[in-house]
Amino acid sequence: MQKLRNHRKESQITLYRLLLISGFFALIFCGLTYRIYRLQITQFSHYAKLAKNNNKQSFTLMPYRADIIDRYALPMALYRTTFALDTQSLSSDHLALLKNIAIAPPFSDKRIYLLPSQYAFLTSTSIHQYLSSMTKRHYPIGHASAHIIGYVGHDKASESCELPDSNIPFQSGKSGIEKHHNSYLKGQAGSKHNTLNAKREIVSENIAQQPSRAMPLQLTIDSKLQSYAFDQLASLTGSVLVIDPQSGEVLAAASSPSYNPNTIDLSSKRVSNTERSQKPMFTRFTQALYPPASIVKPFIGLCALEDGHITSETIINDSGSFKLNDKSRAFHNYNRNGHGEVNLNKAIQLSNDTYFYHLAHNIGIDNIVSYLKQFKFGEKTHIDLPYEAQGVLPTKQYRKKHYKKWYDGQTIISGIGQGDILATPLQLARAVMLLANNGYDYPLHMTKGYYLPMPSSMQFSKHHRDTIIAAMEDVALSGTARSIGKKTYTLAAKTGSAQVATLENKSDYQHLPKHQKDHHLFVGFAPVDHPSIVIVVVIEHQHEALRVAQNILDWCHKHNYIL
Amino acid sequence: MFSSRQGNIDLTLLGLITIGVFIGIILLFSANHFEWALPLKQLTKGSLAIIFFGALAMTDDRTIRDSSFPLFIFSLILLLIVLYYGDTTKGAQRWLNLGIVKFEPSELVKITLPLSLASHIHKHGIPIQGWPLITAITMLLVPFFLVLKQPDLGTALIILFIGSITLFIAGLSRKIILITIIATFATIPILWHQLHAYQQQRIITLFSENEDLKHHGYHIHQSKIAIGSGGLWGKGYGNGEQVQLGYIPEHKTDFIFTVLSEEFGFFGNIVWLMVILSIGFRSIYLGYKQPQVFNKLVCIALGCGFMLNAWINMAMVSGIIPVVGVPLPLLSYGGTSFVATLVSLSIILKLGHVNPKRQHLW
Repeated sequence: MQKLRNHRKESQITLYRLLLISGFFALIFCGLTYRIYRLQITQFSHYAKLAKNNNKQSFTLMPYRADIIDRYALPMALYRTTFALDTQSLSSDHLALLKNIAIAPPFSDKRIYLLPSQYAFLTSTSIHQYLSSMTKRHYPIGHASAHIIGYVGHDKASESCELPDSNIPFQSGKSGIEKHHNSYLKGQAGSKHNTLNAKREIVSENIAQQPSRAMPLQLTIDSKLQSYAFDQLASLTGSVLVIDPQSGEVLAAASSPSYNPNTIDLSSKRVSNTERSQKPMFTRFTQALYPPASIVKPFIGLCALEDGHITSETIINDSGSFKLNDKSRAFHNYNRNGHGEVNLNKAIQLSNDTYFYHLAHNIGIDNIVSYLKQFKFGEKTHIDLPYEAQGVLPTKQYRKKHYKKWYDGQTIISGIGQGDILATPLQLARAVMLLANNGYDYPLHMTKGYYLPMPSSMQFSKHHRDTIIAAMEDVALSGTARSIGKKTYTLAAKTGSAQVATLENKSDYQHLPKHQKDHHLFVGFAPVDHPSIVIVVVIEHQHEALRVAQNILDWCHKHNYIL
Repeated sequence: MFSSRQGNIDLTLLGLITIGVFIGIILLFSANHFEWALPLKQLTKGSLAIIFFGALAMTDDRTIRDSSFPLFIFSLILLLIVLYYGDTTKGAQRWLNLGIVKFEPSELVKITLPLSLASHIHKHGIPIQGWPLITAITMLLVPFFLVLKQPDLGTALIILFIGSITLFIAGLSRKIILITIIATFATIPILWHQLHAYQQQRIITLFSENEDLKHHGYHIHQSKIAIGSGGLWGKGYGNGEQVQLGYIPEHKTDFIFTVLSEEFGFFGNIVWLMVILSIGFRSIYLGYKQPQVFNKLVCIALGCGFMLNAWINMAMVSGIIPVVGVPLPLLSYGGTSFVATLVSLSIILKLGHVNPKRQHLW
């Protein structure tokens, strides 16, 4: 049965409720719009970044490390393919095969390097599974340049770096030039952006910037001279420096013992204890500190002349030793019989200690320090190698810091470069360069074309300087370095023996253990009138400095470094 | 026949629907990496709705009203069959495999429930009260629980909501409304335990998104990135990296809103929301104008249902509500949803007469 219907009332109810419903929908859609507004407008940059992180992967593209070449463009560091053999699990058949190419146990390493011809021979044999070839940083003169060039090693930041050849790991310099000039050598980085899909597959690759490899880094080193100098140090401990005083360029800087930078990454753990005790990684010409000993005599002498404390005619009577007073101990000349009447020329020529004991006693420690300071002792050379040592000068602050009382005796031995004074071979080379250049200071450097000359910092009267240089010429002609013998060029030189142990009785020296024997030093420059070579030789505990210096000077002369 | 009644079809609504379908095909083409296969399949299925609309146009309103209840019973039977014999996807039995076609009966219920409720109320008059109300509530709860058991919480709630709106419009007394609201809040803790673990997880995810991005929060996190990175103007058609590189799972179906958001930006979203609201409110307006209670209630309920479906989907994709498997009407790929949307819109077109005064009353 149909009821009576009031249509007007029905539509009134509906209208009111319809408005409520419409309002409800308007409200929830406003909420939705606000949400979308928040996501797309307010937080747009946040989500845009998230989207980019989602599907973009960036790599730093690195070029090959730049080569390093010497002053004549001979390679000193480059990439080369090396061939290696894994020797761990070779059978006797394999060993028999290896005999054909002159390889036999014991092997120096788990992995030994092969010549290309050996590798070629072995690839067609049953041994081929133990062979591997890889491209790696190679240092042609190996041990000889290890302390200059340094070596490269794994770089911690390498995870996101890619080299053009994925077999070569990205490396950075760990010592030497490789470390000091690392930012140049590694070249200009490029970048690559990959687009990834949700399965982390690469959809597209986009190289934003190509990496660019740096031009070869040219050194001032002459690699042939470097090799020759290193060979001279064979079985010795010490260092040789050859520099050009006209530019501050280092022509050779050898340190012995050395290590092989070509295998250092593989064998660093296998350095034996005896090897380690000789510190093959120690760069002696920048890091080792020696008493400069008699080498300081010309410098102190020159400054004393300038200050008027002495003249070239000042004479001291050397009876073989010097005493402060009757009670004090005697400071001996190396020649305990004494040299008799000694003037400055003779004192330098024969390296007379007594003369300089007197001089030191007269002028005092502050003058000695200030004279040596003029020749930049105790000051870094800032050569382009890492970890350079500072050297020691007993300045006022130093004495205050290290001693309650500074004794006269300490002043006196400072006059012959013993005691607290310490210098690196590089500092000796700079001091000799300053003397050879009449105070004109070129910063010492190993890389071509980086340095400008600095203005002259000191001037000496020509007369005083000539006196000292004449004495140094006499050292090579008739003095302590006369064994260098006849030359076709002029040479100014000074020798030194740095005491390691103090002896009361000179005859005991022969019985000293080797590691307590004197260090022998040699410095020189040639030719005297227009110096083109400064040489410094330091040999620890062995009397070989003169021989080494002579050979190197002859080589330099033969190769037109000394005209 | 069709042409003689053409004047009674609301061309505004028809135009809006066409725009909606057009937008859907455009987005699907991009989502399918510029291959026509999927959009064409969608259109082919859509043509079913056009045939249905043609048939509907030739039927008169009374026949529709009278067949509502039998159709409702039929859809309930399908729901029962699905519960026992349905195909299972992702842990829920929603699909009925008829050999050639696979479809979700719950989509059918979304249409037949408001139809039969409207016809029931039409018969007993407004406001609805007493026994007819109890019958109506029963009609509402049976499909709700059947769908809930599949389990498909989202669709069940939509069914509940559409039915409630129908009763609400039909003048449900305020007392009952108040009691229902209080009762609902009171039973929330009990309902929580009734939820499946994965449903609970989705709700937890909503409130603590950063805790578990890789698993439960991953979809929503990625879709928020897609929406947010679209910005004001979008990345351009076919340039949505999030979508095109596969970071959005289900980007052709439930998450197709991300394609729109990423490629056309906030601007595109506003246009799309305008289309949705225009269709919805136009349907409500048409319903309001109908003197016949049946026509009125069906237009309003189906119009509201359309907007609600759209809102739930977009709210889910933009992370306002937990993930429920509700497709976006007109845009999502998927036969049942697309056809059901078009069918319900054609029913609105049929029953929402432009000029109801020309219609004689029965």
